[in-house]
Amino acid sequence: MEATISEKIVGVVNVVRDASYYEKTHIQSLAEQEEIINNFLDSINGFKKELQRTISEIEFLTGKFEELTWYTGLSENELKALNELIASSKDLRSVLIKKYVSYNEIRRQGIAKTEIICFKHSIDDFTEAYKDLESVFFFLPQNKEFQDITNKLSDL
Amino acid sequence: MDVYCIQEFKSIVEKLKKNKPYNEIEQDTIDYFFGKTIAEISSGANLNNNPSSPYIKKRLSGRGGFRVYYLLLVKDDKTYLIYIHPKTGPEGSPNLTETAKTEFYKKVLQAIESNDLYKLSCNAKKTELIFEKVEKSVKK
Repeated sequence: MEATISEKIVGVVNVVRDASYYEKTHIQSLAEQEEIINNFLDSINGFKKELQRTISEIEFLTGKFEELTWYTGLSENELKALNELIASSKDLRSVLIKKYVSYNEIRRQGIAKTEIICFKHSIDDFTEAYKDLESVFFFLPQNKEFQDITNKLSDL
Repeated sequence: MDVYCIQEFKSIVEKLKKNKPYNEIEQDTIDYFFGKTIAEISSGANLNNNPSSPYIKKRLSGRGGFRVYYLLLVKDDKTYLIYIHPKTGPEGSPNLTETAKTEFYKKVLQAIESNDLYKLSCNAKKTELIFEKVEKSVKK
């Protein structure tokens, strides 16, 4: 049976009364409010700092991978080590991408948006760097056309 | 150090510099290549793993910026700019495939052999690139 108008009003009165009671008994001092906000901001800053640390680490690796492309005359053992490095880098990339995807909701809420975009760019650079490394030491040396050009340039 | 480029590099720079997200392309190129020694620009990925004539891919303007491909002929103190592309935005593209890397490598060799090049300089304020066609009859 549908509630009468009086019953509906009483229902609203109850909600208002409960809300009023809750608010009166849960008044936060200014200091308490500030503490909550500060804790929230500290968490965001902590998150940004941790992200920045990861970005610096990834960028360091990217730079190192580029440096490796300048080493010449690598032995078989050195090439095997490079091959392991590339395999580990692929694993690391998977982990980083999962981390990035998990940040999507945070980014949508406008938190640490710039840092998260930078994080993605650093993962992309890292991916490019290990792919280049693989290309320089494993794929392009097998490419006859590419090697012929290198030989012709050396003769110029 | 003398700086040259092939037609592809000139075309892409002229196209992208008119496009707002990429209007720094000219300035970034000037800042990186002009007034530098060969040693100062010998960094990035050495695609042909050759220290005397490295075919380099370099990240310009940090994360998500441009990728520039160039060749250095160390003994001649010459740089040849081959190609540049942005990583992000409407004209952004991923890493070049090995076929494309080989194709550009071939193009720069042909351009050097036939002297089909532009000599690059910049204006006094170092804000604009000047492309000057190399006379085919004049050996570089």
